[in-house]
Amino acid sequence: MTDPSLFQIRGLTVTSGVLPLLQSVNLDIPAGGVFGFIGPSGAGKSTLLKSLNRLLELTPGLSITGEVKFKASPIYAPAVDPNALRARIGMLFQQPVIFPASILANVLFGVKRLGILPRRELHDAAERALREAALWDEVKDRLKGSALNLSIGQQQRLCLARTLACQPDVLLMDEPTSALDNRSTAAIEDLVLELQSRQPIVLVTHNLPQASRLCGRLALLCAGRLVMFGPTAEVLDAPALEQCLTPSSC
Amino acid sequence: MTGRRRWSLTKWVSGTFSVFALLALAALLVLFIRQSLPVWRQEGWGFLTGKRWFYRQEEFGLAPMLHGTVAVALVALGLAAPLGIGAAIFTAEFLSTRLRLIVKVAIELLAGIPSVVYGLLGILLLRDWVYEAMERFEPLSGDTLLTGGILLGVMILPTIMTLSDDALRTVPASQRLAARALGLNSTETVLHVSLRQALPGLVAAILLAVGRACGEMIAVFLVVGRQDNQWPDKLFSAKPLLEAGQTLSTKLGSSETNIAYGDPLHWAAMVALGLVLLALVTFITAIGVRLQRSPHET
Repeated sequence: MTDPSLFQIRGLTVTSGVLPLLQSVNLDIPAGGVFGFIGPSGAGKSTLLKSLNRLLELTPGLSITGEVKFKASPIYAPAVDPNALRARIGMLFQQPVIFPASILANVLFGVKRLGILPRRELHDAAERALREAALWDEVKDRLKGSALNLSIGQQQRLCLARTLACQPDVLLMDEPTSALDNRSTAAIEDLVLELQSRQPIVLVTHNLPQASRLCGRLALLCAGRLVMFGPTAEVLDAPALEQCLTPSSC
Repeated sequence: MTGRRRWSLTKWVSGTFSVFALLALAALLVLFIRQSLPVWRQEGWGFLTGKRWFYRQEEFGLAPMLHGTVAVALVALGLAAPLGIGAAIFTAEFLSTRLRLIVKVAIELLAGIPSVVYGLLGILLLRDWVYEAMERFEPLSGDTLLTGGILLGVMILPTIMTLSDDALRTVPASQRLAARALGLNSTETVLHVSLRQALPGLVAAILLAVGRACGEMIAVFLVVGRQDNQWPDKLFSAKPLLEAGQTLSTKLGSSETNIAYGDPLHWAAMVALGLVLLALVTFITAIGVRLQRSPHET
């Protein structure tokens, strides 16, 4: 691949009725490391993130224009199958979403339906994914037990394992620690730092210390516009950041 | 909630009314059991298993009517369950909230049509159609268990649909979104997430509809033929469906009930029919309600 960027976003505009959620965003997300979206609530961070795997279009009443390229191919082109695209792009939500089934069934939920692995390799895949999500030692003796009995921090790591089992090309995380306590947050942050060597991660956060701990590069959004982007230290020191986080300015 | 709530006037009054309702049900049961005692003394369990009902010979067996009830309910269910659940998948999973409510109101209006009107429609449209469609099996007329079942299927369709729709809507949207984010398409999401998690509610919808189907009288009465003592030669065959039959409720709705009132034994037999019907419907409905109220796991 000659193009080093993972996502190329050009003129991306999202409106809900007449209300603009994103206004002509142009951004390149590089193919390595952790890239963070920061900004105040309602700035359009999650909207931008969900436009990267076309999950946004499942929300009725939104109009999406502009272009997004993933690995140099446009994802909003008519020939693209959005389901196949989503299968290649893993996603972690703010609240862990656990299916009311066993831990094992949860880990294998995606990979089983997508049919990307032969049946006999599924168990190994589950173990691998749970190890990658640092959950294996805690659950290996109760894989058949209900996933709903796990703590919320464990549930979030189970969700991570579930998406890792599908071997995605990139991970999108939408404020993955905002529902968690400090210890679980630290566990997820450690995982982000560890996983970034294997696959790029795009992270939405409103927690600036977290952004500075985890992200190599940041994009600052404010009221649906991309204010600036660049190396983390640069963005966190910029006067624009202070302005943007003052409630009156947005 | 912490601590005990004190008894308020509202609580007293509503509590008293609830007790009244329960007492009325208990009194009804006691009355029915007492009134039906003579026939239980004479027939014993034979009342449930006996295949002959000739009141002049004082023979009372309700098995053919039980068969009729079950046959009619099964036909109705075979027709209405797939259609109703299929339609509910459409309204719950694919329609916008606004459209869904419009469709739901329309469907619930269907459920409010008096059953005698359905019965008239059955005579008008269904009877001849069944007779002609089944001509090569040589039915004696269009008044068959099948006709009653089809009509009943149309009648319970709204119940199944609207209850299934409710059951599907209890599955949180976040569950569907998580499945879609993993790359499942909308069909796979319906199959593996929505239907799977709504399953107890769907079974409840079916059971509540069956409860209604078993008790339904007038519409079936008009098209089922009301032929007594139709015990099939082969229990698990479709052939008896093309013959006239009788269900527990159509028997009770017939003029025989009035005739029976003068004769203690005959009257006891009719009341016992009512008791069996009551027990059957209550049992099925109770399981349905229980499943429906079982809390969602997430």
